[in-house]
Amino acid sequence: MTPPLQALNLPSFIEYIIIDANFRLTHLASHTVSHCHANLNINDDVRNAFQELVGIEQITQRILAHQQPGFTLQEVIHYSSQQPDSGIYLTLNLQRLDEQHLIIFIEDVTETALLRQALVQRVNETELLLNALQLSENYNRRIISSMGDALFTINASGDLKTINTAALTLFGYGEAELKNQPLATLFQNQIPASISPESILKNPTLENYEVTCHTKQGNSIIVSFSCSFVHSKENDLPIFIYIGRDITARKKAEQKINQALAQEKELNDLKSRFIAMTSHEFKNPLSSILMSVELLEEFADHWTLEKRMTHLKRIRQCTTQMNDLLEDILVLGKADTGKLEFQPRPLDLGNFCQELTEELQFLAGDRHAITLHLQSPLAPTYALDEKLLRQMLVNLITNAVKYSPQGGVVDFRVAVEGESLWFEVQDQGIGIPESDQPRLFECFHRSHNVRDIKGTGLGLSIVKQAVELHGGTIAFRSAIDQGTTFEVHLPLHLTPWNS
Amino acid sequence: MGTISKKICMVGDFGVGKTSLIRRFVEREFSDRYLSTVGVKISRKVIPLTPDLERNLDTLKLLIWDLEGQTKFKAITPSYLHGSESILVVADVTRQETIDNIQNHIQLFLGINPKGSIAIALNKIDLLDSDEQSYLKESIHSTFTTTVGAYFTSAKTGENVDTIFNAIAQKMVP
Repeated sequence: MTPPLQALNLPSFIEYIIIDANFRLTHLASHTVSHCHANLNINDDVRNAFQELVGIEQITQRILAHQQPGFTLQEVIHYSSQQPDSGIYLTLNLQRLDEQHLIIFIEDVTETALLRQALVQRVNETELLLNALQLSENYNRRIISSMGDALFTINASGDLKTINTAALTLFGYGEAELKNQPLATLFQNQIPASISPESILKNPTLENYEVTCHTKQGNSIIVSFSCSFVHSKENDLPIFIYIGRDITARKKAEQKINQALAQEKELNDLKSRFIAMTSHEFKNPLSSILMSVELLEEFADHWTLEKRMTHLKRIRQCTTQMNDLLEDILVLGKADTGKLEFQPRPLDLGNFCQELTEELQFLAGDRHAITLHLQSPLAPTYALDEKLLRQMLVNLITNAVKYSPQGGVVDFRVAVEGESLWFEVQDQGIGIPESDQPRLFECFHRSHNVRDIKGTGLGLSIVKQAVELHGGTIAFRSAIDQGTTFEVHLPLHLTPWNS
Repeated sequence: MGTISKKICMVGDFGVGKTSLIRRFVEREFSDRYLSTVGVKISRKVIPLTPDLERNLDTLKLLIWDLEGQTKFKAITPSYLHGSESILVVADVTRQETIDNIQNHIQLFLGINPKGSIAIALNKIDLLDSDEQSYLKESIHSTFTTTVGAYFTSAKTGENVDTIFNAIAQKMVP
């Protein structure tokens, strides 16, 4: 039975259908949903046309039994057979009409649903995009963070923008301390030209540039940088990328290796020079001795006494020469092994110097004049190791004579200067080239300008050892072809005799 | 022989591929283009059954409700779930939060139909490489207790799509 519809007093634009408890259509408003359900007839099961009603039988029973006020299904899309591609959205609202009937109000909400769809589409797309971006950013950030190498980027103004964990650790800063700060912060306020943005723009693939950086703690570290740049998509401005590796430890190790290699080379050179010098220095006198001995064996009976004596004298000279050389080597050997000892005894220095000068003048001959200048009054005795002092002064004075081949004056000055004895030996000889001066006291080192002047390169080494055993210092000044001056200071406070 | 109609709801967060799974299952098609669903769209798929002379049944008409996905701003409308014997909860394996929300969707459904059947589609499996798939399968498979099971699906390749729908259908027609 059709319920009294007039009693509902529904406006004519409201669309509805009335169904019984078995979903059979009992009434429909004449204008209702004809555009999508043209074949809906009285007594039809409305669930064929409204599939959304399938499965809600229990709910309709509850509504009819007053156990539930109503039920709404919102925005269910329906496609008409006439327009299968464009659906309409319907909202169904089920209400109890009487104990046998339900009225279903049908509202076409297509317009609002489509508007909402456009909005939801935009919001969801944005959300998906953000999600993808975040994933990508997290992925990239994790890679950058996990890098062992330092990575940072700067903008065209040189301000730091991205700094990875390794870079922060390397330079000892927190991210907030470096972000937007000038790159120069890492280089004591001066970006090295080799890795400046200008250089990177000229050469976009700068690789392995070693520069010194400074940490927050003020330590210097050597970092090998590879640099490049990209253009930001938004404004085409360049972004400079720096990837750096701390090579400080490697550099220090290299430096040590190089030093060790240099030392080894030096030792090898020394050995070579020693072998060359000793073989040369021994070979000549030995040859002379051998020759004289052979001649004496062969012709001694026929020679005059004078001639025999000449050869014997030569043998003696050569033997003395070799003995002197051996003495020098022994002195240095002792010094090297710490066996050369400073044994001071009271010494009359004035007398010692006087006798030494006379002795050496005799050996030097007439072309040289060795002049002793005692420039201050001397005490009767000083505690000095006579043997070492002699080695020192003999070497200095004979060198002065030897390296003044044209002859001339050698000034030997002695004075007391405060708490030390001062000795000066000055010649007007060939001088020492500047390039040889740093190595002058090294064993076997001889200046380049000695030409054929004989020598072993041991004399000044012995002098230095002797000075140092006295606790003194030695210095020199020299100019080519103008002469050389050696100055020695020996302290007087080392022994009780001097106090 | 007759047909029985059954309602199943697809639930899950937005953009996880609910519409795409239905499209693959019903129309055998797939599109990469994302088109958000608002409200609900009901699709039909007739599945042949082993003829049951006693109940005079040989086909199942599956009414698949494609529900608007849950967003931050809008939860799933519970009224759609009334009358549904089962749900297929869909998550996107590339978005962890959609997997985290599976349990909430299940609870919502069980609140309305405590005896309902539940299947889980961990969708878009094609977007993971083999290592990621292995890891996910190891870590996730035992997490959910469902009546039908959890399947790694791909609407794009069709992987496990028919399998999961057929598994649900079998559950609905015992």
